[in-house]
Amino acid sequence: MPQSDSLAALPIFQASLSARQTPRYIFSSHNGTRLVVIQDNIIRWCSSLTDPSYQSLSFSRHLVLDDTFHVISCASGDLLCFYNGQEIFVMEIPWGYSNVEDVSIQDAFQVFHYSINESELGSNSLIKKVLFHPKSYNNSCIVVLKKDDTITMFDILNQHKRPIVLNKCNSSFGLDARVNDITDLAFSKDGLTLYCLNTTEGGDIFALYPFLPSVLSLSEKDLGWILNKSLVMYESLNSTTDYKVKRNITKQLQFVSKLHKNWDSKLAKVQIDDEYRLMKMQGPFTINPFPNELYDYTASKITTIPIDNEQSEIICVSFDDGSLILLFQDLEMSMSWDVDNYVYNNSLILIERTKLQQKEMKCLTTLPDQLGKLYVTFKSSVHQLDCTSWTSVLSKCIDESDLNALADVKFVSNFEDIATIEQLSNFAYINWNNKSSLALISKEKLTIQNISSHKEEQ
Amino acid sequence: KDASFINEDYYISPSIDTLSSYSLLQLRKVPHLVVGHENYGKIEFLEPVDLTEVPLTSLGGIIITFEPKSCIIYANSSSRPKRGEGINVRAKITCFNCYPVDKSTRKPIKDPKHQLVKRHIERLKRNPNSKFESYDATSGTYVFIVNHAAEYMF
Repeated sequence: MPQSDSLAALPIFQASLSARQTPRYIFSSHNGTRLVVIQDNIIRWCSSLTDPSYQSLSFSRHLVLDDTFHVISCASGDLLCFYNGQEIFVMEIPWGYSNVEDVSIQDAFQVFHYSINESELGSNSLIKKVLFHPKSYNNSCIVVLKKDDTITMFDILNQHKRPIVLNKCNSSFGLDARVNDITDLAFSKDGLTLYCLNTTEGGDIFALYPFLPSVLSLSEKDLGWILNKSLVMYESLNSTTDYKVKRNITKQLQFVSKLHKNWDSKLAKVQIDDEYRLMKMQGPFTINPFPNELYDYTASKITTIPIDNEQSEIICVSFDDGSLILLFQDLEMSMSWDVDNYVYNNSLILIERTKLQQKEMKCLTTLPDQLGKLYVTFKSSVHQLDCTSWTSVLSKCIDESDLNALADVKFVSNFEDIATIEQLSNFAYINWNNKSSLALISKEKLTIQNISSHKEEQ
Repeated sequence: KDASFINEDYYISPSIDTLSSYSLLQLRKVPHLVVGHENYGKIEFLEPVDLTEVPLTSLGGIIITFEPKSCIIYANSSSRPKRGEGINVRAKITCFNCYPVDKSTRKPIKDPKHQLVKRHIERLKRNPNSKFESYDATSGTYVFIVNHAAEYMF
């Protein structure tokens, strides 16, 4: 694949002038047309790739990045979150500002800070992973997984609000008393389910559903969708249904009706009462058929891959032998709040398993508009798993309620190397001159790789 | 053996009759207390417990509850006895049917020769805040010791 050199020549990519080697990161938003680069504790941003100039803001008075930090961006590209074991910083990117020299203005972009006193709380309370809630209004909710397996939701725009803590410690002994050893989290595509991967028994998937911020961003279409789903489930209840399931589904319909009533159509948002945000884990999911070989290995990462422009998705789990399993949720979960060890329709079917040669996957990523494609990052390289040969058929079958097309499908994905770069920090999707590229960045190097599919090039 | 049922599922030893006949002084140091659930397991206190502040009939099902594969102590109570007080002492807990689970069906794997059994035992040995005693792969019975029965686990 040819390199797009002129893109790499954009001023925003110019290397640092200081001799110090600080971590560098790159993020994009608005379908790859807005770019953010972090280096030397400075945020650089440019809002249009056709405009050669960029703006910058130094944050070194607040935070000096080192290798302990992870950096993530929310999907809209408005906020960045920097976190390590002890601290979380959320900063706003000054889109629209051209001059942020003034210190008081600079401080205004520091949105949220949280730190843990390790000596007070012990190493168990350290931060393991942070995510932005994909459906929180104004990106105001961050989700924090700690080493003690608690999952906390912080309202970053309202620091007086008490955080919601889920999967708390309890006084149970034995097995299955609580979900321990959570190693990774991933949101469903509709943003209402948080999948939790735990490793107590090698690898199991649990879910928090509904997993809601204090203000939920919800389009009219999505609102209609969950209302219809809830109605169908309510109508499927009969005298043989378990009473816990009946209770949950009735509560779900009540809750969704309430959403419908309180929904702000102008801003496409709805306020959620705290009582609906406290819930217990459901699961574990069945993974059918589970490959026998994987009983000897441990799961490492989980992610969801969108396969159409509706709600359909594939769940992908990696294992430490280099395997990826691609799963499809075939049954409709019900919402559940207060039932312990609740399992109802928590079912995943295995569609494909592939085994990669390298084993230590750093992360699994999906990109906007790249349906059915997964990017697998290793220490020094990025690879693409292209499942479109079967996900496109699957999504069509779901849409048309016709399984016939699946009969001839071979469920085999294509795995290909995208690029190699030593000590890779991260990568971002760039849409430039109607070409899709990946920009991969390390402390020393930037590589631009064209990933436009062959069809698009023709 | 001197035992009695508290309700349909839970039993206690010494029996309620015996415990009721104890003097206040005796109730302060009841040795060998056992509370169990017919189907799920039992807890045997390894040190004498002080039952003077505990309503005896609530020991099984309220203060101590059993669920499949787990034992919960003071589930719905914010106040718990301090270490060494009441029933917050060293105890041996037995849970029944703690077989490894088939991930395709979530059904227990009862074959003691299955590849998962060895890994399952290793996992039981790592179980937080409990000291592994034994696991019987045929019956699925898992036995472990906890130092303070009524404490939050981390």
